[in-house]
Amino acid sequence: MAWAAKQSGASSAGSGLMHLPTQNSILLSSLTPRLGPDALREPCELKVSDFDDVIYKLFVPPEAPNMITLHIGLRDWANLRANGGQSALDSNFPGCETSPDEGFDCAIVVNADSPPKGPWGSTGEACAAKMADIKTLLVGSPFDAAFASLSAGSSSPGSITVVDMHKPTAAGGGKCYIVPKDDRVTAVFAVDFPDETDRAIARIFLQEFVEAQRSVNNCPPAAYSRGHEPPTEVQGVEGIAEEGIAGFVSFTLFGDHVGDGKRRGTAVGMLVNFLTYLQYHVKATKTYMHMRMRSKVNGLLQVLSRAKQESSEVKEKKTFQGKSFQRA
Amino acid sequence: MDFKPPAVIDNGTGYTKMGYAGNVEPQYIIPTTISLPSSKGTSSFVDTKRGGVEDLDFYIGTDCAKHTNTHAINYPIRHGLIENWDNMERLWQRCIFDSLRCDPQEHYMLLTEPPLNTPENREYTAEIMFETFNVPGLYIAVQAVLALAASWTKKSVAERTLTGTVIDSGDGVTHVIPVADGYVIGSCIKHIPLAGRDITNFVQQIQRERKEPIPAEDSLETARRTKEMHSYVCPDLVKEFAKYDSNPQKYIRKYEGIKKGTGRTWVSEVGYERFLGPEIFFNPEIFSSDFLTPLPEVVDEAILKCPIDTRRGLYNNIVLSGGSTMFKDFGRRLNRDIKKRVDRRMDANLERLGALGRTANAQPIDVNVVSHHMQRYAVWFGGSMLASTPEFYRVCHTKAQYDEEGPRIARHNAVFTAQM
Repeated sequence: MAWAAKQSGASSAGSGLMHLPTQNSILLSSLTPRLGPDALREPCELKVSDFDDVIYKLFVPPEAPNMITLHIGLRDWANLRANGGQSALDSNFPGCETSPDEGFDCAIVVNADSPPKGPWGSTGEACAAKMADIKTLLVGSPFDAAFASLSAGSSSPGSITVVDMHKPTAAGGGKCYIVPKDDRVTAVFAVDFPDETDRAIARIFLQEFVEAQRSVNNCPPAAYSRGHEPPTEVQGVEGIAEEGIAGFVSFTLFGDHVGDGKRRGTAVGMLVNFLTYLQYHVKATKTYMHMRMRSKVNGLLQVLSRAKQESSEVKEKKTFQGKSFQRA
Repeated sequence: MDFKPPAVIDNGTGYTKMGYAGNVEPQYIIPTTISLPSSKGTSSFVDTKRGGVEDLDFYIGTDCAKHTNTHAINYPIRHGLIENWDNMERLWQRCIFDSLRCDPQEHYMLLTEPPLNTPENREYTAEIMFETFNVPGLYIAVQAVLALAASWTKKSVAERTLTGTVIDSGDGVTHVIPVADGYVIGSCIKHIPLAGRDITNFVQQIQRERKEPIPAEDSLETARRTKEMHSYVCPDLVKEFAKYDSNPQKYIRKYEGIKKGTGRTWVSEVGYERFLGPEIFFNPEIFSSDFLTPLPEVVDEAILKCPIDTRRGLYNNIVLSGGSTMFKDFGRRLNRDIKKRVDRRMDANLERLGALGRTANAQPIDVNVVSHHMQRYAVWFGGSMLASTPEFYRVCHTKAQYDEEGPRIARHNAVFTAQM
C-alpha cells in the first residue's frame, strides 16, 4: 500500500500529503519569476536549507540582475562528484559551473536572458524547475548512474557505492549502499534516529511498510532487518556492523522498474527522499499519538467532572416571579 | 558545514510568516488555517479501511481554499493565542516539512507569542517542539519585543534598546504595547478595534456613496487596492479638502479595472478617500460610533499608565509594526499629535506650579516615532535578525535542558537574566 502511494506521487487526491515533493519550493518560487516569462530582474540574496544537510544560497547581484548564481552545500560532495555527480552537473547544466563561495561545495551560474538547454528541456521555466530539484540531481547521481548501467546491461557487480545521505547518530546510520548485480540494483539504507522513541516508532513503521509493499503489484521488493543483522548484499562491507541502529531497509530494483527515463527519475527521487520520508512519517505518527492522548485526557476530565457530587444542602426554591414559598 | 540557519516561524491570528533566519523577508506568508476532512463519522481517528493515511489528510494555508468541497477550514489561533493544539501541531508539521523543508532535528527554532501569553501555552509549545519534532533548541520570543528589535536597523549599536512603545496594526486589531527593557508591561497594553480591514470598509463606503462605477463584485477588492496604492496621512483635514477642491487634476487619481463577466474595462476616480481612509486612526468619529478615542491619545494614555521611570524611554522610542502603519506620513502625524498633547500637559503643569509660587524647570520630553523599511513584517524580521546573532544560541532552551528539567524551562525567558 505504502509503495503504491509512493509511486502515485504526492498529489493523489484524498490521501493528503503522503510524500514530500523533491523540489525545493522556496527556490522554485524565487527562480520561476526570474527565468519564466515574467523576466523579473531584481537583485536577491537568499539563504535556505533543505533536508539531509543541504544548503543553498541564491545570489543575484544588483549590478547584473540577469546572472543567477546558486551555491550548493552537500554532505560528502567529493564522493558524490566521483560517483556521477560531476557528469550529472555537466550534462544538465553545461558550461554553467562556477566557483562556489566559502562554505559551499559547488555552484552554478545561469544567465536569465539565455537560459541553458539541457536534457530536461529548453524553456526558462524548465530550467527553474530543474534548479529547484538540484538536490535530487546531485545526491541522486550515484543511483542514476547505477540504474543507467542496469538498463544498458553494463552493470558491474561487486562494486558497492556508499552514499552518505544523512547525519549519522551516535550509533551510525544515515548511509545508503548501492549494490549493483547483473539484473538488479539493490539500495540498502542504514537507518537510525537519535531519539529512542523515534527509533522504536521507525522500527514498527518499517515492519509495516515492508508488509504493505507485498500487497502491491509490480513494486520493487523491499526488506527490513534489524540493526545487528545487515542484509546479505552488504555483509562484509567495511563498517557495516553497526550495532544498535534502527535497522536496514533494502529496495531491489529490476530493469523494468527503471526502464524509461521518467520511471528512472521517479525512482531516483523516491530513493533520495527515502530517509526524509521516514523521518516525516515518524514525526507525523508522534503527532497522531499526541492527538489521541489529548482526546483521552479530555474524555477522562469529562468523566471526572460528571462524577462531582452535588451538594446535599436543600436549596430554597423560588417561583418564576422570584418569590419564595414554603411548603406546608 | 556548520551553517544551519535557524527557522523563524511567526504564527499570527491571520497569517503565518515563516522562513530561515538571515534573510530580509519571510519565505512564506500563508493564512494560519488548516482544513480537515468534513467529518462524516463521529471519530476523527484513523479508519483502517483506507490504509491509515487519514492522519495526513489535511491542508494548510493557501491550499485550504482549493479543497473547500471536501474539507472544513479551521483557525487554530484565535486573538493571537493558540486554541487548538491538535491542529497547531499538524500545522507546524506541514510548515516544517513541506514548506520550509528543514530537518527539525538539525535546526534551531524561533517561535513568537503574543503579549500576555499564558505560561501553560508556552509549555505546550515547548512540549510539541521538543517531543514531536526533537528540535535541538527553541526560543519563544514576544512579538512586540521582536518589533522593537526590527527597528534597530536605523540606529547605531549604542542606541539599541529594548525599551519602547510598539504600535502593532495588522488587519484585525491595533495594539499599543509598552515594553521596558524587554519586559512587556502587561497592565498597560491598549487595544483599538480599528485596523486595516476597517480602513478598507470605510474606503468602500465612501466609493459606494459617491456612486463610483465599480462593479459590485469587485467593490471590496478595489477598496483594498485603492487603500494600498493611493492612501496617505494628511497633516490637516480642512486644508487637504481645500487643496483637492482648488486643484482636482493634481490630486484625484484614476483606478482602472476589468469587469469579470464582460471583460470590459471600467474607470473610477480616487478622491478624498486617499486621505480619509487612514484618518480613522486620528479622527475615529468619521467612521465608527462606538470607538471615539484617537490613536495618539490612546498611545499617550498607555504610556501614562506605565511606571514613571520608564515613560521618557517609552515616548522616545515609539515603533511602528504591521501593514496598516505603512501609510505615507503616518509616523510623522502620530509624532506631531503625541508631542502636542505631551507639551500641552507639561505647560499646564508648570503653570500650575508657578501659580503655587514654586519654580520648577522640566526637561522637555522627546517624542520620537520610528518608521523603518521592515515595518510590514517587522516581527518576523526582528526574529530573523535575532536568530542570526551568535547570542541567539546562548539564550535558546536546548534539548538537553528540556530533557533535564521538562517543559517548565519554557517559562523562563533569557531577556530577564538579571532575575536568575
